[in-house]
Amino acid sequence: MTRSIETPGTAPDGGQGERGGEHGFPFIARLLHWSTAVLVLALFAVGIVMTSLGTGRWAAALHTLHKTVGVFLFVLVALRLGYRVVARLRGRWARAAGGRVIHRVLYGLLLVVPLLGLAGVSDFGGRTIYGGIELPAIWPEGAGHADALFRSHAVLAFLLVGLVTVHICLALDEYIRQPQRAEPAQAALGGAGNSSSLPGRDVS
Amino acid sequence: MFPSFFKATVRQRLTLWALMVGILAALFGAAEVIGSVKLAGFARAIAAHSGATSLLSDTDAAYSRIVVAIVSEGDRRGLADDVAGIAAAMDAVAARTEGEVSARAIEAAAALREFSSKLEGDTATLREALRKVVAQRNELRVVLNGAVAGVSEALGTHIESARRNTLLLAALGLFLVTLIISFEHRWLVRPIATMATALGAPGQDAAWVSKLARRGDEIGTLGRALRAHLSDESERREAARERLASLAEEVERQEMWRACGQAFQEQIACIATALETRAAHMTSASNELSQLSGFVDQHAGAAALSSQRAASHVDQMSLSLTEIAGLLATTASEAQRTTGIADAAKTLVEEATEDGVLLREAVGSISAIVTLISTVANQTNLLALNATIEAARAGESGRGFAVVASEVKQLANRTAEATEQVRRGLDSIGTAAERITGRIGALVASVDAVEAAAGSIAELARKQDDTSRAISAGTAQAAGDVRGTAEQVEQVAGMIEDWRQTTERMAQASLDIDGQAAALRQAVDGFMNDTRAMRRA
Repeated sequence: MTRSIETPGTAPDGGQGERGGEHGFPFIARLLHWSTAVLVLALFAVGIVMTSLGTGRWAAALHTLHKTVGVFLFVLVALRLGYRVVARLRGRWARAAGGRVIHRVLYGLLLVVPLLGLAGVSDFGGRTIYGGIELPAIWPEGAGHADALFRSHAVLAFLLVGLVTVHICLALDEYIRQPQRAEPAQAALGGAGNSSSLPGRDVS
Repeated sequence: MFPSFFKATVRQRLTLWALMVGILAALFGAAEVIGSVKLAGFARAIAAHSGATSLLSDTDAAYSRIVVAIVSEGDRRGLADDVAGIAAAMDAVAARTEGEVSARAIEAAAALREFSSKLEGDTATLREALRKVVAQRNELRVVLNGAVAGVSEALGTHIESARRNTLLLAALGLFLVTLIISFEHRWLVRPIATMATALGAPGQDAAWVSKLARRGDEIGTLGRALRAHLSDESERREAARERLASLAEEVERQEMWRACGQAFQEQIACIATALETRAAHMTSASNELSQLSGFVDQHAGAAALSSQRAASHVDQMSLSLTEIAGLLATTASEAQRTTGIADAAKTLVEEATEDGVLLREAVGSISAIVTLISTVANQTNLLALNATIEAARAGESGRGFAVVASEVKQLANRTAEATEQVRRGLDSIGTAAERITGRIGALVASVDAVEAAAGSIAELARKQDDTSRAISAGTAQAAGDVRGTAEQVEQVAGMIEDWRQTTERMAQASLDIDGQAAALRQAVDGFMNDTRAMRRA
């Protein structure tokens, strides 16, 4: 609560990236949000195809791609959290308890699912991704829990996607229920007032 | 966070749902296709392996024949065909399979060909070659079995993973569809149902409709239209209610007017009837009045004459009274004069009284002087006695003195006598003065009596004068009154004359009124008949 009240004070931080932000969110925040969404979707699709293929040349290539993109997503989410902490940018989820909970769970899953995948890869072996980079091992190799780790990785990924759909529905609900800002007077009022409480669909 | 073109309209939402469900379905389909392709691959592998196994088994008889022939050193003639058949089977296995199995089969075929070339040689070499062939065959068998086991394991793994993927994807799809249905119910179905309710029963859900109208999608447009429609509807309803109320009022007013008109007609009929009777009465009364006025005219002339006579009598009486008043005024003036004389006498008497008082005072003062003189005479006498005594004491030398003393004593005695005489004279003066005073008092009393008498005469005269004046005024008034009466009588006579003329006119008018009343009655009756006919119609 306190932080969301402080948010207007951090307006200069957000104002730098607000060039195209007709909805009040800085450009950086929007870019991070939508790139996260695209990466999650891509990882989900690649994961399903990859597990369906099981073994083979194509499967190996997809595995490598999945790992690379997963690392990228993890770094992106970490950056996003850092940006959030720095900019103290909080969406309107602070007002809706359910949305707030989903928000936090989404962030947690976005961090936990890649870590589980990395743990499974460490156990299974094959931490190499594109560019010949060797990922750090966070699990003893050959410990024999690779299968369980991969299974939990998959289940949590599905849970994450389910939560993303819930998140989309809640955001739409709020967007639909909020009065339209077609009237210029209202828009001016909102722009002059608290920019943080503007349409807040700060997702995932 | 939404792009600016996204307004969450129903169309855009449906597109979004289609996209999401489509992505899921595409993933599901892709997984299924890949799974089926993989299953086909597994089936092919299993078929190849089982074919290889059966080929291998088919060579068992020829193989045992070769082994028996080599080991028992028997006939070797037919062996070449067997070896060639086995080598062909190995080639077939190599062609059907791939990987390690194929390599083993090729090796086995090579070993068999080597064995076939050594078939004509010595037994030891042949045995060595046979041992190699056996080893190759056994290895091929082991590898083939291992490959079959690997394929089975891969198949199990694939089936398990495919099941998991299918289950999770199905669950996700179900969840997504449930979410979409429940949220669309909330965004689309419920608003429409509520708007239908609001259309059916205006006034309810007004706040809800206005909340809907703020939305940006099609439901918002609908809500705005519904709100406008509802407000129009309520306005129209209000206007209709007002019109109805005004109509009811109008009807009520018409009814009231009708009742009023009815009452008015009846009243007018009554009045017309009354007018007829009154006009008849008036005609007869005016006739009577005109008779009476002639009679009154005669009497008024007589009354005027009598009153003129009375007025002359009163004038005479007034003159006599004026004379009496003059006489009384003279008497009053006489009485006034008498009073003045009496007053003068009274003044004189009072002056005399004052003189008497002065006289008495003078007598008093003289008497005091006389007393003083007598005291001096007494003292002188005493002095003379003392002087005599002293002269006696002095003896001879005092003789002369004694003579003087006796002389003084005689003088004193004489003085005393003289004073006594004076006192007596004074006393008689005082008595005379007292008596004068008493007489003056009597005189004063008689003068007062005269004055009182004159006063009463004046009073009486004045009263008489007042009375006569009052009488005079009364008679003058009476004369005026009588004259006024005469004038009034004349006026009355004139008025009666006027009246007679008026009554004649009135008789004429009443005849007119009679006619008018008849006409009125006729008109009213006609009107009433008309209205009755109209009402009946």
